[in-house]
Amino acid sequence: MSAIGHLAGNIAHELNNPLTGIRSLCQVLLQNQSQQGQVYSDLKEVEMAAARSQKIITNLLNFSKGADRDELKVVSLNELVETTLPLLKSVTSVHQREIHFTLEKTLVKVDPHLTQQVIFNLINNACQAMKEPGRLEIQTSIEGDWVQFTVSDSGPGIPLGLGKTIFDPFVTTKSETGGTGLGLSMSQRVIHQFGGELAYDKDVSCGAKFWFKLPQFNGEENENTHS
Amino acid sequence: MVKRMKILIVDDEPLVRIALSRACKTRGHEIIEASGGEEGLDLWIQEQPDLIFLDVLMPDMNGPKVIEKVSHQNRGKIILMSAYTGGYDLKKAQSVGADVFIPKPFDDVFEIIKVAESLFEEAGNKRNS
Repeated sequence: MSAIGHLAGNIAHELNNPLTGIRSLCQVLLQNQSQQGQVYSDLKEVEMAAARSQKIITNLLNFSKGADRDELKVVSLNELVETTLPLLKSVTSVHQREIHFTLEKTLVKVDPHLTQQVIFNLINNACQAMKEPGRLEIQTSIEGDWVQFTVSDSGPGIPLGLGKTIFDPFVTTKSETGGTGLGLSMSQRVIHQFGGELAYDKDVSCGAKFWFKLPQFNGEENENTHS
Repeated sequence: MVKRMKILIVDDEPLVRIALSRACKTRGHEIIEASGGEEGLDLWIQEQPDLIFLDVLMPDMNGPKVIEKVSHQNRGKIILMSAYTGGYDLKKAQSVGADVFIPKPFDDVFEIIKVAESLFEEAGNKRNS
């Protein structure tokens, strides 16, 4: 495991212990409270905050695992997108969806779990950007030696001034809804670690278009290969 | 009806001990607490609990080391817990002598108590059969 993986593991342990205590004690105290009371709702908020904190730690841990070469597998990007979409059914179903998968082979060598998280992040961001039902377009394509994933939305687009810092950690447009600002920063780092690139198109007339591309895998198919 | 257990909680994190202890007491169980491995070992031998919640990583003596030092006879059921990711799973925990492994954080402390009660009941059924 890399040095950053060790550090993340140690930090996770140090934080997970008290968080476990906080959350569990809240659950015990909630048992003795009337659901109509102020104390109950306050304790519930504390418990939910602890649960959110635990989730952030899990995400940071997954992120720090990064490109451990032993965990890379040859997979189809089309398949990864296909298996991710059902997880987003509740947020995507309100929008008009256009999904285009290229018929060509989309083999890439990645950590499937982390790549799926990137796909999830980008689609979720697109949906959250659209406060009302809009248009969501998801596409995979082959661009030269690259396999590309693109997601477009018809939301308000990227706020002026945010463009330069949008991939910086802790930058978020979702602070009211609990966004941590780690999604794009982590996603970009994950894709870079697999030899790819993640960016957004600056010249869209409306909404936003984010994409990432990964080197197309043209090696021998072996037991780690999923077609 | 839930059989009353004597439970030993060995964890260096005070809030985990408090939360587990309170949750167990709401179910009528008797609780003994230890804040480290060495104290836990002494209490384990002295009190002969029915079940032990045992943390893995503790500053003085870690959980697996504590298990190693306790005699196999009448050691009670052992639930190993850890917030350290990537280190333990059920197989590894069982290889060091635990019955169950529970990773921290746990989503619902009362579900953990139910696991403990099932373990104890299972052991009781085996003794009586």
